Amino acid sequence: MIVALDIAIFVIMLLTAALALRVKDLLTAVALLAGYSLVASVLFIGVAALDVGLVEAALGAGITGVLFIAAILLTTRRSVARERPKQQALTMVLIAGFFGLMVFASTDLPDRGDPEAPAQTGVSTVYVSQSLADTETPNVVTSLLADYRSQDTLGETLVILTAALAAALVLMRRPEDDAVEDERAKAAVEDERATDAVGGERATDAGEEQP
Amino acid sequence: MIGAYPSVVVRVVSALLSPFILLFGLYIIAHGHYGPGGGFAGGVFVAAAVILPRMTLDEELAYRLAPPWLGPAAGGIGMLLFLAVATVPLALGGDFLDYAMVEIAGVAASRIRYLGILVVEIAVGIAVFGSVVLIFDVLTGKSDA
Amino acid sequence: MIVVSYVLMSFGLVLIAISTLGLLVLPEIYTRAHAVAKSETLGLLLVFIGLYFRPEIDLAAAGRLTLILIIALIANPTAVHALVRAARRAGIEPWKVPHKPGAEEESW
Repeated sequence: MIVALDIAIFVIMLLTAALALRVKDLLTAVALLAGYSLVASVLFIGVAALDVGLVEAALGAGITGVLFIAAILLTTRRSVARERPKQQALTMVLIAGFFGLMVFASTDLPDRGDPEAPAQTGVSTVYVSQSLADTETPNVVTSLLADYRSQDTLGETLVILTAALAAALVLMRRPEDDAVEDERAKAAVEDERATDAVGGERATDAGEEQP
Repeated sequence: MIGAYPSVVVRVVSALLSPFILLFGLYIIAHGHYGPGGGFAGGVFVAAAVILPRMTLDEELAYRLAPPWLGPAAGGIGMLLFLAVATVPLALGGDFLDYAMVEIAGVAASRIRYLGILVVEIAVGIAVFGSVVLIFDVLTGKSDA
Repeated sequence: MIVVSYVLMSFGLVLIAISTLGLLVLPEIYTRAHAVAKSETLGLLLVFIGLYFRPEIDLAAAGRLTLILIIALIANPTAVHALVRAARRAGIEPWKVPHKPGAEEESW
Protein backbone atom coordinates (compact mmCIF):
# COMPACT_ATOMS: atom_id res chain seq x y z
CA MET A 1 0.00 0.00 0.00
CA ILE A 2 1.29 3.42 -1.03
CA VAL A 3 -0.21 6.42 0.73
CA ALA A 4 -0.04 8.80 -2.24
CA LEU A 5 -1.68 6.22 -4.52
CA ASP A 6 -4.40 5.59 -1.93
CA ILE A 7 -5.13 9.33 -1.66
CA ALA A 8 -5.26 9.69 -5.46
CA ILE A 9 -7.63 6.71 -5.69
CA PHE A 10 -9.91 8.15 -3.01
CA VAL A 11 -10.02 11.53 -4.76
CA ILE A 12 -10.88 9.89 -8.11
CA MET A 13 -13.59 7.76 -6.43
CA LEU A 14 -15.17 10.78 -4.73
CA LEU A 15 -15.08 12.79 -7.97
CA THR A 16 -16.62 10.04 -10.10
CA ALA A 17 -19.33 9.32 -7.52
CA ALA A 18 -20.25 13.00 -7.16
CA LEU A 19 -20.25 13.53 -10.94
CA ALA A 20 -22.39 10.41 -11.48
CA LEU A 21 -24.98 11.95 -9.17
CA ARG A 22 -24.83 15.36 -10.86
CA VAL A 23 -24.91 14.57 -14.59
CA LYS A 24 -28.23 14.71 -16.43
CA ASP A 25 -27.28 12.13 -19.08
CA LEU A 26 -27.73 8.70 -17.52
CA LEU A 27 -25.36 7.05 -20.03
CA THR A 28 -22.58 9.30 -18.74
CA ALA A 29 -23.55 8.37 -15.20
CA VAL A 30 -23.22 4.66 -16.06
CA ALA A 31 -19.77 5.24 -17.57
CA LEU A 32 -18.73 7.15 -14.45
CA LEU A 33 -19.99 4.37 -12.18
CA ALA A 34 -18.04 1.79 -14.19
CA GLY A 35 -14.93 3.93 -13.76
CA TYR A 36 -15.67 4.20 -10.04
CA SER A 37 -15.85 0.40 -9.77
CA LEU A 38 -12.60 -0.03 -11.69
CA VAL A 39 -10.78 2.39 -9.37
CA ALA A 40 -12.37 0.68 -6.37
CA SER A 41 -11.02 -2.66 -7.58
CA VAL A 42 -7.55 -1.09 -7.83
CA LEU A 43 -7.98 0.05 -4.23
CA PHE A 44 -8.98 -3.46 -3.11
CA ILE A 45 -6.02 -5.01 -4.90
CA GLY A 46 -3.79 -2.36 -3.30
CA VAL A 47 -4.71 -3.73 0.14
CA ALA A 48 -4.14 -7.32 -1.11
CA ALA A 49 -7.84 -8.23 -1.21
CA LEU A 50 -7.45 -9.96 -4.57
CA ASP A 51 -10.71 -11.93 -4.46
CA VAL A 52 -12.81 -8.83 -3.81
CA GLY A 53 -10.89 -6.85 -6.41
CA LEU A 54 -11.53 -9.51 -9.05
CA VAL A 55 -15.27 -9.59 -8.34
CA GLU A 56 -15.45 -5.79 -8.30
CA ALA A 57 -13.67 -5.51 -11.65
CA ALA A 58 -15.77 -8.22 -13.31
CA LEU A 59 -19.15 -7.33 -11.86
CA GLY A 60 -18.95 -3.62 -11.03
CA ALA A 61 -16.96 -2.41 -14.01
CA GLY A 62 -18.19 -4.97 -16.52
CA ILE A 63 -21.57 -6.63 -16.21
CA THR A 64 -23.31 -3.94 -14.15
CA GLY A 65 -22.59 -1.34 -16.82
CA VAL A 66 -24.07 -3.59 -19.51
CA LEU A 67 -27.19 -4.23 -17.42
CA PHE A 68 -27.58 -0.50 -16.66
CA ILE A 69 -27.28 0.37 -20.36
CA ALA A 70 -29.90 -2.27 -21.21
CA ALA A 71 -32.18 -0.70 -18.60
CA ILE A 72 -31.55 2.78 -20.08
CA LEU A 73 -32.50 1.50 -23.53
CA LEU A 74 -35.75 0.21 -22.02
CA THR A 75 -36.59 3.46 -20.23
CA THR A 76 -35.06 6.90 -20.75
CA ARG A 77 -31.66 8.53 -21.02
CA ARG A 78 -32.48 11.79 -19.25
CA SER A 79 -32.68 12.15 -15.51
CA VAL A 80 -35.21 14.68 -14.22
CA ALA A 81 -34.19 17.08 -11.48
CA ARG A 82 -36.35 17.06 -8.37
CA GLU A 83 -37.71 20.49 -7.65
CA ARG A 84 -37.70 20.46 -3.87
CA PRO A 85 -34.93 22.80 -2.64
CA LYS A 86 -35.96 22.48 1.02
CA GLN A 87 -35.77 18.72 0.97
CA GLN A 88 -32.46 18.93 -0.86
CA ALA A 89 -31.03 21.18 1.85
CA LEU A 90 -32.21 18.72 4.51
CA THR A 91 -30.59 15.86 2.57
CA MET A 92 -27.31 17.74 2.37
CA VAL A 93 -27.38 18.37 6.12
CA LEU A 94 -28.10 14.68 6.76
CA ILE A 95 -25.29 13.57 4.43
CA ALA A 96 -22.84 16.01 6.05
CA GLY A 97 -23.84 14.78 9.51
CA PHE A 98 -23.45 11.14 8.49
CA PHE A 99 -20.07 11.86 6.90
CA GLY A 100 -18.91 13.64 10.06
CA LEU A 101 -20.09 10.71 12.19
CA MET A 102 -18.21 8.25 9.98
CA VAL A 103 -15.00 10.30 10.10
CA PHE A 104 -15.36 10.57 13.89
CA ALA A 105 -15.89 6.80 14.17
CA SER A 106 -12.95 6.03 11.89
CA THR A 107 -10.54 7.77 14.30
CA ASP A 108 -11.18 4.90 16.73
CA LEU A 109 -10.52 2.08 14.24
CA PRO A 110 -7.40 -0.08 14.63
CA ASP A 111 -4.63 0.37 12.08
CA ARG A 112 -4.72 -1.71 8.92
CA GLY A 113 -2.92 -5.01 9.57
CA ASP A 114 -2.73 -4.43 13.32
CA PRO A 115 -2.22 -7.88 14.93
CA GLU A 116 -4.03 -6.69 18.08
CA ALA A 117 -7.18 -5.66 16.20
CA PRO A 118 -10.36 -7.43 17.38
CA ALA A 119 -10.87 -8.94 13.92
CA GLN A 120 -7.45 -10.61 14.11
CA THR A 121 -7.69 -12.08 17.62
CA GLY A 122 -10.98 -13.98 17.52
CA VAL A 123 -12.02 -17.06 15.63
CA SER A 124 -10.24 -15.92 12.45
CA THR A 125 -6.87 -17.05 13.84
CA VAL A 126 -8.16 -20.62 13.77
CA TYR A 127 -9.33 -20.27 10.17
CA VAL A 128 -6.04 -18.75 9.01
CA SER A 129 -3.81 -21.27 10.78
CA GLN A 130 -5.92 -24.40 10.20
CA SER A 131 -7.08 -23.85 6.60
CA LEU A 132 -4.30 -25.88 4.99
CA ALA A 133 -4.50 -28.79 7.47
CA ASP A 134 -8.32 -28.93 7.52
CA THR A 135 -9.16 -28.44 3.87
CA GLU A 136 -5.89 -28.61 1.85
CA THR A 137 -6.76 -25.15 0.53
CA PRO A 138 -4.00 -22.51 0.61
CA ASN A 139 -6.40 -19.67 -0.23
CA VAL A 140 -8.05 -18.87 3.11
CA VAL A 141 -10.75 -16.77 1.46
CA THR A 142 -12.02 -19.75 -0.53
CA SER A 143 -11.94 -22.16 2.41
CA LEU A 144 -13.73 -19.53 4.54
CA LEU A 145 -16.43 -18.89 1.95
CA ALA A 146 -17.05 -22.46 0.87
CA ASP A 147 -16.26 -24.48 3.99
CA TYR A 148 -16.12 -22.71 7.37
CA ARG A 149 -18.88 -20.23 6.53
CA SER A 150 -20.56 -22.07 3.69
CA GLN A 151 -24.00 -21.39 5.16
CA ASP A 152 -23.43 -17.66 4.53
CA THR A 153 -22.47 -18.46 0.95
CA LEU A 154 -25.61 -20.57 0.58
CA GLY A 155 -27.67 -17.59 1.72
CA GLU A 156 -25.80 -15.20 -0.58
CA THR A 157 -26.31 -17.39 -3.62
CA LEU A 158 -29.97 -17.77 -2.74
CA VAL A 159 -30.29 -13.97 -2.47
CA ILE A 160 -28.66 -13.47 -5.90
CA LEU A 161 -30.92 -16.04 -7.54
CA THR A 162 -34.02 -14.60 -5.82
CA ALA A 163 -33.08 -11.10 -6.98
CA ALA A 164 -32.68 -12.29 -10.58
CA LEU A 165 -36.01 -14.13 -10.46
CA ALA A 166 -37.73 -11.09 -8.94
CA ALA A 167 -36.29 -8.86 -11.66
CA ALA A 168 -37.52 -11.36 -14.24
CA LEU A 169 -41.02 -11.40 -12.73
CA VAL A 170 -41.24 -7.62 -12.67
CA LEU A 171 -39.82 -7.01 -16.14
CA MET A 172 -40.92 -10.02 -18.14
CA ARG A 173 -43.26 -9.30 -21.04
CA ARG A 174 -45.79 -11.89 -22.01
CA PRO A 175 -47.53 -11.84 -25.39
CA GLU A 176 -50.91 -11.38 -23.67
CA ASP A 177 -49.59 -8.23 -21.97
CA ASP A 178 -48.62 -6.75 -25.31
CA ALA A 179 -52.10 -7.47 -26.64
CA VAL A 180 -53.73 -5.80 -23.60
CA GLU A 181 -51.45 -2.77 -23.98
CA ASP A 182 -52.30 -2.49 -27.66
CA GLU A 183 -56.01 -2.52 -26.84
CA ARG A 184 -55.54 0.12 -24.16
CA ALA A 185 -53.56 2.34 -26.53
CA LYS A 186 -56.29 1.95 -29.16
CA ALA A 187 -58.98 2.78 -26.63
CA ALA A 188 -57.05 5.87 -25.51
CA VAL A 189 -56.73 7.09 -29.10
CA GLU A 190 -60.46 6.59 -29.63
CA ASP A 191 -61.26 8.43 -26.39
CA GLU A 192 -59.16 11.37 -27.53
CA ARG A 193 -60.94 11.47 -30.86
CA ALA A 194 -64.34 11.37 -29.14
CA THR A 195 -63.48 14.22 -26.76
CA ASP A 196 -62.00 16.23 -29.62
CA ALA A 197 -65.25 15.81 -31.50
CA VAL A 198 -67.34 17.02 -28.54
CA GLY A 199 -65.35 20.20 -27.99
CA GLY A 200 -62.27 21.78 -26.43
CA GLU A 201 -63.80 22.73 -23.06
CA ARG A 202 -65.24 19.29 -22.37
CA ALA A 203 -61.94 17.73 -23.32
CA THR A 204 -59.92 19.76 -20.78
CA ASP A 205 -62.46 18.96 -18.07
CA ALA A 206 -62.28 15.26 -18.82
CA GLY A 207 -58.51 15.46 -18.84
CA GLU A 208 -58.43 16.96 -15.36
CA GLU A 209 -60.80 14.41 -13.91
CA GLN A 210 -58.75 11.50 -15.06
CA PRO A 211 -56.47 10.12 -12.34
CA MET B 1 -28.32 -3.70 -27.68
CA ILE B 2 -28.77 -7.17 -29.19
CA GLY B 3 -28.35 -8.38 -32.74
CA ALA B 4 -25.50 -8.19 -35.23
CA TYR B 5 -23.24 -5.19 -34.64
CA PRO B 6 -22.82 -3.35 -37.94
CA SER B 7 -19.02 -3.40 -37.87
CA VAL B 8 -17.11 -6.46 -38.99
CA VAL B 9 -14.13 -5.64 -36.76
CA VAL B 10 -16.22 -5.73 -33.60
CA ARG B 11 -18.04 -8.89 -34.69
CA VAL B 12 -14.87 -10.81 -35.46
CA VAL B 13 -13.07 -9.68 -32.31
CA SER B 14 -15.96 -10.54 -30.00
CA ALA B 15 -16.45 -13.91 -31.68
CA LEU B 16 -12.72 -14.50 -31.21
CA LEU B 17 -12.58 -13.34 -27.59
CA SER B 18 -15.71 -14.88 -26.09
CA PRO B 19 -14.40 -18.51 -25.99
CA PHE B 20 -11.31 -17.26 -24.19
CA ILE B 21 -13.42 -15.32 -21.72
CA LEU B 22 -15.37 -18.54 -21.11
CA LEU B 23 -12.11 -20.45 -20.57
CA PHE B 24 -10.87 -17.77 -18.18
CA GLY B 25 -14.14 -17.95 -16.22
CA LEU B 26 -13.88 -21.73 -15.88
CA TYR B 27 -10.24 -21.34 -14.82
CA ILE B 28 -11.25 -18.80 -12.17
CA ILE B 29 -13.89 -21.18 -10.79
CA ALA B 30 -11.54 -24.18 -10.73
CA HIS B 31 -8.52 -22.25 -9.45
CA GLY B 32 -10.25 -20.76 -6.40
CA HIS B 33 -8.33 -23.07 -4.07
CA TYR B 34 -4.95 -21.65 -4.99
CA GLY B 35 -5.52 -18.08 -6.08
CA PRO B 36 -8.01 -15.26 -6.23
CA GLY B 37 -11.36 -16.27 -7.62
CA GLY B 38 -14.06 -18.78 -6.96
CA GLY B 39 -17.67 -19.21 -7.87
CA PHE B 40 -18.82 -15.58 -7.81
CA ALA B 41 -16.13 -14.04 -10.02
CA GLY B 42 -15.94 -17.08 -12.31
CA GLY B 43 -19.70 -17.17 -12.81
CA VAL B 44 -19.67 -13.50 -13.80
CA PHE B 45 -16.91 -14.13 -16.36
CA VAL B 46 -18.78 -17.10 -17.85
CA ALA B 47 -21.90 -14.92 -18.07
CA ALA B 48 -19.84 -12.24 -19.85
CA ALA B 49 -18.77 -14.86 -22.38
CA VAL B 50 -22.45 -15.53 -23.11
CA ILE B 51 -23.57 -11.88 -23.09
CA LEU B 52 -20.82 -10.61 -25.44
CA PRO B 53 -22.03 -12.70 -28.44
CA ARG B 54 -25.60 -11.63 -27.68
CA MET B 55 -24.62 -7.99 -27.99
CA THR B 56 -22.48 -8.25 -31.10
CA LEU B 57 -23.19 -11.38 -33.15
CA ASP B 58 -26.13 -12.30 -35.33
CA GLU B 59 -29.18 -12.89 -33.17
CA GLU B 60 -29.92 -16.40 -34.42
CA LEU B 61 -26.31 -17.52 -33.97
CA ALA B 62 -25.94 -16.02 -30.49
CA TYR B 63 -29.13 -17.64 -29.21
CA ARG B 64 -28.20 -20.96 -30.78
CA LEU B 65 -24.92 -20.85 -28.84
CA ALA B 66 -26.73 -20.15 -25.56
CA PRO B 67 -30.52 -20.34 -25.72
CA PRO B 68 -32.65 -18.07 -23.50
CA TRP B 69 -33.79 -20.93 -21.27
CA LEU B 70 -30.16 -21.38 -20.18
CA GLY B 71 -30.32 -18.52 -17.65
CA PRO B 72 -33.15 -19.70 -15.39
CA ALA B 73 -32.16 -23.35 -15.87
CA ALA B 74 -28.56 -22.73 -14.80
CA GLY B 75 -29.70 -20.64 -11.82
CA GLY B 76 -31.95 -23.42 -10.59
CA ILE B 77 -29.46 -26.23 -11.26
CA GLY B 78 -26.64 -24.40 -9.47
CA MET B 79 -28.80 -23.71 -6.42
CA LEU B 80 -30.06 -27.31 -6.34
CA LEU B 81 -26.49 -28.63 -6.61
CA PHE B 82 -25.47 -26.45 -3.67
CA LEU B 83 -28.43 -27.65 -1.61
CA ALA B 84 -27.72 -31.28 -2.54
CA VAL B 85 -24.10 -30.94 -1.40
CA ALA B 86 -25.38 -29.33 1.77
CA THR B 87 -27.86 -32.11 2.58
CA VAL B 88 -25.68 -35.15 1.80
CA PRO B 89 -23.82 -34.92 5.16
CA LEU B 90 -27.19 -34.34 6.87
CA ALA B 91 -28.50 -37.60 5.40
CA LEU B 92 -25.39 -39.43 6.65
CA GLY B 93 -26.00 -38.27 10.20
CA GLY B 94 -23.76 -35.20 10.31
CA ASP B 95 -24.38 -31.47 10.33
CA PHE B 96 -25.74 -29.36 7.50
CA LEU B 97 -22.88 -28.52 5.08
CA ASP B 98 -20.29 -30.51 7.06
CA TYR B 99 -18.62 -32.26 4.12
CA ALA B 100 -16.11 -34.07 6.33
CA MET B 101 -18.94 -36.36 7.49
CA VAL B 102 -18.97 -38.00 4.06
CA GLU B 103 -16.58 -40.91 4.35
CA ILE B 104 -14.94 -42.41 1.30
CA ALA B 105 -12.49 -45.23 1.85
CA GLY B 106 -8.92 -44.24 1.21
CA VAL B 107 -9.59 -40.49 1.08
CA ALA B 108 -8.60 -38.26 3.96
CA ALA B 109 -11.22 -36.03 5.60
CA SER B 110 -9.32 -32.90 4.55
CA ARG B 111 -9.36 -34.12 0.94
CA ILE B 112 -13.13 -34.57 1.13
CA ARG B 113 -13.53 -31.03 2.43
CA TYR B 114 -11.31 -29.90 -0.45
CA LEU B 115 -13.61 -31.65 -2.94
CA GLY B 116 -16.67 -30.26 -1.15
CA ILE B 117 -15.29 -26.75 -1.60
CA LEU B 118 -14.76 -27.46 -5.31
CA VAL B 119 -18.34 -28.66 -5.79
CA VAL B 120 -19.70 -25.68 -3.85
CA GLU B 121 -17.66 -23.26 -5.98
CA ILE B 122 -18.93 -24.90 -9.17
CA ALA B 123 -22.52 -24.72 -7.87
CA VAL B 124 -22.14 -21.03 -6.96
CA GLY B 125 -20.59 -20.36 -10.37
CA ILE B 126 -23.50 -21.99 -12.21
CA ALA B 127 -26.07 -20.14 -10.08
CA VAL B 128 -24.40 -16.72 -10.53
CA PHE B 129 -23.98 -17.33 -14.27
CA GLY B 130 -27.67 -18.20 -14.57
CA SER B 131 -28.78 -15.17 -12.56
CA VAL B 132 -26.75 -12.67 -14.59
CA VAL B 133 -27.82 -14.16 -17.93
CA LEU B 134 -31.46 -14.21 -16.76
CA ILE B 135 -31.35 -10.51 -15.83
CA PHE B 136 -29.78 -9.61 -19.18
CA ASP B 137 -32.30 -11.66 -21.16
CA VAL B 138 -35.22 -10.15 -19.28
CA LEU B 139 -33.90 -6.60 -19.81
CA THR B 140 -33.48 -7.15 -23.54
CA GLY B 141 -36.90 -8.81 -23.81
CA LYS B 142 -35.58 -12.14 -25.06
CA SER B 143 -36.42 -14.33 -22.07
CA ASP B 144 -38.88 -17.14 -22.62
CA ALA B 145 -38.87 -18.37 -19.03
CA MET C 1 18.95 -6.05 -17.86
CA ILE C 2 17.21 -3.99 -15.21
CA VAL C 3 18.44 -0.81 -16.91
CA VAL C 4 16.87 -1.91 -20.21
CA SER C 5 13.66 -2.63 -18.30
CA TYR C 6 13.66 0.84 -16.71
CA VAL C 7 14.36 2.60 -20.01
CA LEU C 8 11.61 0.73 -21.88
CA MET C 9 9.07 1.15 -19.10
CA SER C 10 9.73 4.86 -18.66
CA PHE C 11 9.46 5.36 -22.42
CA GLY C 12 6.12 3.54 -22.36
CA LEU C 13 4.92 5.63 -19.43
CA VAL C 14 5.90 8.81 -21.30
CA LEU C 15 3.80 7.61 -24.26
CA ILE C 16 0.82 6.90 -21.99
CA ALA C 17 1.21 10.34 -20.41
CA ILE C 18 1.28 11.91 -23.90
CA SER C 19 -1.89 10.02 -24.77
CA THR C 20 -3.58 11.34 -21.62
CA LEU C 21 -2.42 14.84 -22.49
CA GLY C 22 -3.92 14.39 -25.95
CA LEU C 23 -7.20 13.35 -24.36
CA LEU C 24 -7.20 16.64 -22.46
CA VAL C 25 -6.10 19.14 -25.11
CA LEU C 26 -7.45 17.80 -28.41
CA PRO C 27 -10.73 19.35 -29.56
CA GLU C 28 -13.16 16.49 -30.27
CA ILE C 29 -13.79 12.76 -30.15
CA TYR C 30 -12.02 11.66 -33.34
CA THR C 31 -8.69 13.29 -32.55
CA ARG C 32 -8.97 12.17 -28.93
CA ALA C 33 -9.65 8.59 -30.00
CA HIS C 34 -6.56 8.83 -32.19
CA ALA C 35 -4.51 9.86 -29.15
CA VAL C 36 -5.92 7.07 -26.97
CA ALA C 37 -5.85 4.22 -29.48
CA LYS C 38 -2.38 4.57 -30.95
CA SER C 39 0.02 6.00 -28.42
CA GLU C 40 -1.58 4.20 -25.48
CA THR C 41 -1.40 0.82 -27.20
CA LEU C 42 2.26 1.39 -28.04
CA GLY C 43 2.92 2.61 -24.49
CA LEU C 44 1.32 -0.53 -23.06
CA LEU C 45 3.44 -2.66 -25.39
CA LEU C 46 6.63 -0.94 -24.23
CA VAL C 47 5.70 -1.28 -20.55
CA PHE C 48 5.09 -5.00 -21.02
CA ILE C 49 8.36 -5.53 -22.91
CA GLY C 50 10.08 -3.69 -20.08
CA LEU C 51 8.40 -6.04 -17.61
CA TYR C 52 9.86 -9.06 -19.43
CA PHE C 53 13.37 -7.82 -18.62
CA ARG C 54 12.77 -7.66 -14.89
CA PRO C 55 14.62 -10.34 -12.90
CA GLU C 56 11.58 -11.60 -10.94
CA ILE C 57 9.64 -12.53 -14.10
CA ASP C 58 10.13 -16.24 -14.77
CA LEU C 59 8.78 -18.24 -17.70
CA ALA C 60 5.30 -18.85 -16.26
CA ALA C 61 4.83 -15.19 -15.39
CA ALA C 62 6.09 -14.19 -18.84
CA GLY C 63 3.51 -16.48 -20.41
CA ARG C 64 0.71 -14.86 -18.42
CA LEU C 65 2.00 -11.40 -19.30
CA THR C 66 1.97 -12.38 -22.98
CA LEU C 67 -1.67 -13.51 -22.72
CA ILE C 68 -2.65 -10.22 -21.04
CA LEU C 69 -0.74 -8.30 -23.71
CA ILE C 70 -2.48 -10.15 -26.56
CA ILE C 71 -5.91 -9.51 -25.03
CA ALA C 72 -5.10 -5.82 -24.51
CA LEU C 73 -3.69 -5.42 -28.03
CA ILE C 74 -6.88 -6.91 -29.49
CA ALA C 75 -9.43 -5.31 -27.18
CA ASN C 76 -8.14 -1.74 -26.92
CA PRO C 77 -8.21 -0.81 -30.64
CA THR C 78 -11.52 -2.63 -31.07
CA ALA C 79 -13.14 -0.66 -28.27
CA VAL C 80 -11.90 2.62 -29.72
CA HIS C 81 -13.09 1.54 -33.18
CA ALA C 82 -16.59 0.83 -31.84
CA LEU C 83 -16.61 4.14 -29.96
CA VAL C 84 -15.59 6.22 -32.99
CA ARG C 85 -18.04 4.34 -35.18
CA ALA C 86 -20.86 5.11 -32.74
CA ALA C 87 -19.84 8.78 -32.72
CA ARG C 88 -19.87 8.86 -36.53
CA ARG C 89 -23.32 7.27 -36.61
CA ALA C 90 -24.55 9.73 -33.99
CA GLY C 91 -23.69 12.44 -36.52
CA ILE C 92 -20.74 14.15 -34.84
CA GLU C 93 -18.83 16.13 -37.47
CA PRO C 94 -15.02 15.89 -37.56
CA TRP C 95 -13.20 18.96 -36.35
CA LYS C 96 -11.78 21.25 -39.03
CA VAL C 97 -9.31 24.11 -38.82
CA PRO C 98 -11.45 27.19 -38.23
CA HIS C 99 -11.68 29.36 -41.33
CA LYS C 100 -9.64 32.52 -40.95
CA PRO C 101 -10.76 35.56 -42.90
CA GLY C 102 -8.20 36.43 -45.56
CA ALA C 103 -6.49 33.04 -45.52
CA GLU C 104 -6.48 31.05 -48.72
CA GLU C 105 -8.78 28.03 -48.99
CA GLU C 106 -7.21 24.59 -48.65
CA SER C 107 -3.78 25.96 -48.01
CA TRP C 108 -2.96 23.27 -45.44
